[in-house]
Amino acid sequence: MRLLRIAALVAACSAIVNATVTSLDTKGSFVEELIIKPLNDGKVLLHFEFTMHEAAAARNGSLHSYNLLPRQIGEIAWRYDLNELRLAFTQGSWRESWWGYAPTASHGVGAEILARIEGSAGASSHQWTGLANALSGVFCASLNFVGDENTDVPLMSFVSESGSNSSTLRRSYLPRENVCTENLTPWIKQLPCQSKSGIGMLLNPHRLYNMHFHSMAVSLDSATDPSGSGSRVLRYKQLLSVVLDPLAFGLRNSSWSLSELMDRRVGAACPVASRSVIQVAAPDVGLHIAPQPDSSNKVAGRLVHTFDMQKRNIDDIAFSFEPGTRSTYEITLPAIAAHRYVTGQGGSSGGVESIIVNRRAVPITVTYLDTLPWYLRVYSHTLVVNSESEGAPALVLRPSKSIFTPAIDRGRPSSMELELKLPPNSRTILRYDFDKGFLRYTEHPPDANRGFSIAPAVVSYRLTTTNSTDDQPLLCTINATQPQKSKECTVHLYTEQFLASLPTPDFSMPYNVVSISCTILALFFGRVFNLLTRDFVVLEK
Amino acid sequence: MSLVLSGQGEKTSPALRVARKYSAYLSYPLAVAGIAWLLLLPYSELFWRRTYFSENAMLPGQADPCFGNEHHLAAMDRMDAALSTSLREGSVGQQRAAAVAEVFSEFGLDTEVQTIVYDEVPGVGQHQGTNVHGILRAPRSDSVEALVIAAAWTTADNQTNINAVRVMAALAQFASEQVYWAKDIIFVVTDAGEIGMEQWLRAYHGHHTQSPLYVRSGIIQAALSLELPPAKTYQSMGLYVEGKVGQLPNLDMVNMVQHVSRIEQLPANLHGMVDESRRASVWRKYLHSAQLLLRHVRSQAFGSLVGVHAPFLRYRIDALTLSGIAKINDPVAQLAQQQRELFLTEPVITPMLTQRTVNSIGRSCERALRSLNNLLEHFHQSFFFYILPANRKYISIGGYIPAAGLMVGSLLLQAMHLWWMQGPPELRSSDPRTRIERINKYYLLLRRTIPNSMGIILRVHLLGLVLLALPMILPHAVLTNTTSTAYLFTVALASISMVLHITDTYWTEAARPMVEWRQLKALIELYVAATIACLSVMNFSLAAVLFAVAGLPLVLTRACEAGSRAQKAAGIILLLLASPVCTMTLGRNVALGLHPLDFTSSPFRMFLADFHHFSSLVYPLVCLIYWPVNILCMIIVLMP
Repeated sequence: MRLLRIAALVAACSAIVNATVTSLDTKGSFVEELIIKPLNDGKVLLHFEFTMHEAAAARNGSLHSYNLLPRQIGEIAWRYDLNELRLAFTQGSWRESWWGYAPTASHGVGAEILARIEGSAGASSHQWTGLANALSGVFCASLNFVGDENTDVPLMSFVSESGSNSSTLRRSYLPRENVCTENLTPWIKQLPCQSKSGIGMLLNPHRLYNMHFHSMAVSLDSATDPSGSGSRVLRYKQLLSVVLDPLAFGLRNSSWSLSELMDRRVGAACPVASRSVIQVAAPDVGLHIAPQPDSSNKVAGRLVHTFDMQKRNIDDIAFSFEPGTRSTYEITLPAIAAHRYVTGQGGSSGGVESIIVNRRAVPITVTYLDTLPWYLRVYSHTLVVNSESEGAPALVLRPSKSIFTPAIDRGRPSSMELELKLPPNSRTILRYDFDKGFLRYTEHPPDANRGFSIAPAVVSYRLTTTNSTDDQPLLCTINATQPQKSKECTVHLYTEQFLASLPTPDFSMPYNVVSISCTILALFFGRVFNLLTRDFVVLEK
Repeated sequence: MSLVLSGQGEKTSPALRVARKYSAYLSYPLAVAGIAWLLLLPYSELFWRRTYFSENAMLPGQADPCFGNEHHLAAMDRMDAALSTSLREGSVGQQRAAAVAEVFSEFGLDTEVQTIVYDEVPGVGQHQGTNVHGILRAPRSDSVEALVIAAAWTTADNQTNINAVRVMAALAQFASEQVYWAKDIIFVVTDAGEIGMEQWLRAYHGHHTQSPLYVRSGIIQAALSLELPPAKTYQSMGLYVEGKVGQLPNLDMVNMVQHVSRIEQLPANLHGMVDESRRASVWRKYLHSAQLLLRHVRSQAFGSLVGVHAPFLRYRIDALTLSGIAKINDPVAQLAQQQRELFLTEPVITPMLTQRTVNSIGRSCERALRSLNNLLEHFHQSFFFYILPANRKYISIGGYIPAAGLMVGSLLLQAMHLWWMQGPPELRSSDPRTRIERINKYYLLLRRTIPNSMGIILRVHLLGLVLLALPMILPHAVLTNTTSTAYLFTVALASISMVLHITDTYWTEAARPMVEWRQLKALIELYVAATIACLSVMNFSLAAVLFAVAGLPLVLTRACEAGSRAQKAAGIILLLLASPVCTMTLGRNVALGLHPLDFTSSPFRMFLADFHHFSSLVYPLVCLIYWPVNILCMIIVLMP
């Protein structure tokens, strides 16, 4: 009798499991990809991309059941009416003059959170802070510092692919946020196979943080169902780009293997993945890969080798470079380079000088977004945009569109968005001045004498994959091979941060006073207390 | 008002009465005490304290150095090769810079060559220079902060500084292999010395210049300049810290560099002066320290004479220069010396330093860079105002500023006393019956004499203003060495004729004094005291020097009321000896080791150039305070 019951239970359980597995096939999909690109100066770019598609939970229901999408993300999207979310943590700067285009948006150092929330700007304000708090819990990051005083509402720079008018885009940048394992661990946990199998097995924190560039991002938006049903589903992407130097691990620049580089081996593909591939964007000559790739094709003038992990187990990939060929690699410098520097010295005033270089022989329209905190009081009348081309006199460039948002003290940052049509082969220099505000002493960070980190400016421009051959960011090129991905590529280029040194009070002085007075008080109190509580008696012999 | 009238026997506060009673006797002792205080500074027992690290984040000397493997030394050979090919091609400046840029970019640095054009003094002596720099981007940061290693192609005493460029190449190679940098490292080489570095800094900080920089990094937190003259080995290093307008780097930075260089067996001594041994007599120690302090005062007051670190300090960047000191019998140094004497120019490529020396210098720099890299904030913990009387000893501002207070006090007390003593003696009787009459007389005196006194003061200062402004207004005044001397003598003659004119106008009618010399002197002393007081907080050395050349003669000057012509003549001669032309020419010639009466090159030109390029205070102070006060003293001496 008892046995029978157990048997029935087991049967029921297996039926449920079966049902789950089948529903998994129909309701969601998971794609894992790794792109390896040897860089010109001997370093290696690894770009991990994990994509999940899942039908969104019903708006009116409170029951959340997801197959692949992490439930915490689904709940956040549902609770805060998210249309789109992007969150990136970055360390190190992408050196475009050596490495070419960045794999993703070359996020600046720090944390950037960008969300499109349903509802008007006023109505969704508390949802925005709620979202930041929720994400700070999920990713163990100090995103709770996001508030109105460091949130801007860009109108031109981040145009969504499926933009709806009913939503408001908000963006906040925390330049002081550092990325570390504590952020990576929850990020890995969200993967369906975590780091137990598939490409996720390579995620070795010891190697990922001994790097020259590291950018960890998630993005959530809606897309058409890749399985072909045509319905809108949630798309959740987890991205990790890291530039490693083989020399730093005691390897040689000329020959190394993936397992040596990451100190881990790839196992079998993740069982729930519908696609798991490792792609190698190789230079035309001088690179030997073992084992042989499953397929090699030329994408927009670039050779891409593909290893399909579902066809066979890829244990390791060995790279060896023919000596002397590396210096002959040609990199295509990105069409636009942008740098921003702080000018002036001293604690009262300063300025910003941004240099945007157009390296192409065609004019390119870019959007320049610069958001400065309120304590840098920008004088917009001092804005000068000069453009100089080789062999031509410098000319004053007029922005074709410009949006200025003045700052409110402790309420809103100042932001400027300019649409500039850069002349061909030109260097455009934007200059403007600011005064440095005087802060309350509690508003200074603990390391006040370091200065305030100011978030980078963003230069956005569009590239269409059809017009030129190899003038594309890596991902746009690889995306172009897949029919369902977009043909147009918006590049967001982040400039450097800068440090604004504000007038700093002598913080140690109150501390000295407090510690001295406390010491005196303690000594005095001890003596007096001792005297008061001691009972003096005459000893008798 | 009571202060003005208290000399006239009015009822005043007790403090003023005390001041009135003793001011006559106190001003000379105070001046003597001020000077004595200065003379006590080199005595080790009183004000000296041991230096210590305030900034704990630096952790100097905690990491094992890894500079010095064959890659790093090969980088020096690579630099040599690039330089020698560029030199074969003929010209120096541009090619040399291009070669350095090429080598730097091989090591993965972002490089840029800057061509600058500058006037030596306003409107005169156009020169062209080339700066080249390479930026090693810190792998994990975003070009937010930077450290600078700087060098000029020639050292301050005109030797080739190629060793520094070589060491920079090795350092660049070494640093590009490390991943722990949190700050970018910028390697700058200039061929126009301090002015070239100043132009580079101007461009770096976005000031409008004709030659802007496009490859930049973030805020520069500290700079280290290297001067490595040709030699085989160095016995020690010299450490030079004084900035162009008297600014000093944070004491922590000086400590740190001394600390790490001592670890590497190549100690960095202030101004290259090795400490006396412990068992030396007190007097020897005193003399040694006094010598060091004098060098310090000279560098601080007139702008650093060694190293390209000086311009950095103006931009709130802590900086210093490390300079190699060759052994006396060093063969390479001797050879370079001989070649310099024979050919006037020496070959640019000189033999390499020994590997051991390169390692010591490189590791010192590595340790220093790592300590600076550890800094979380801008230097702020330790002193910015200090005097260094010996290696690893300092005198804080609390120790030396009383000397300035005493000097200023002596000027002020004398001014007060003279103010009360002005006018005929009957004004100072204490007879209550004549009170109203006395006050009326007193005001009459003030009304008659003050405009005249002020007139004299203003006229003399106008002359100083002309001296200050003429080189700027006349941009093509050919200020060559000889003509500027001539210009100086013209101004000197003009000033003497003015002295004679003023004395003629105002003292012909001796019976009715139109100017009261006590009043005149009191007014001058007031603003001299104010100037010295302000200056002593910013640049103590300059304040002390100004007191010595202008304040002290002023305190001692008095009208020879019943004196003979001989006395007057002696006074004038003494004042002429203390006049700017005399002191500056003598001082400069002694400092540069020239013949003391060599008038061929004018010291004014040097100060004018510093004023033009670095807004140095010396030239305006000479024109607006020192010279006018000297002339006014002569006027006072000539009063009947």
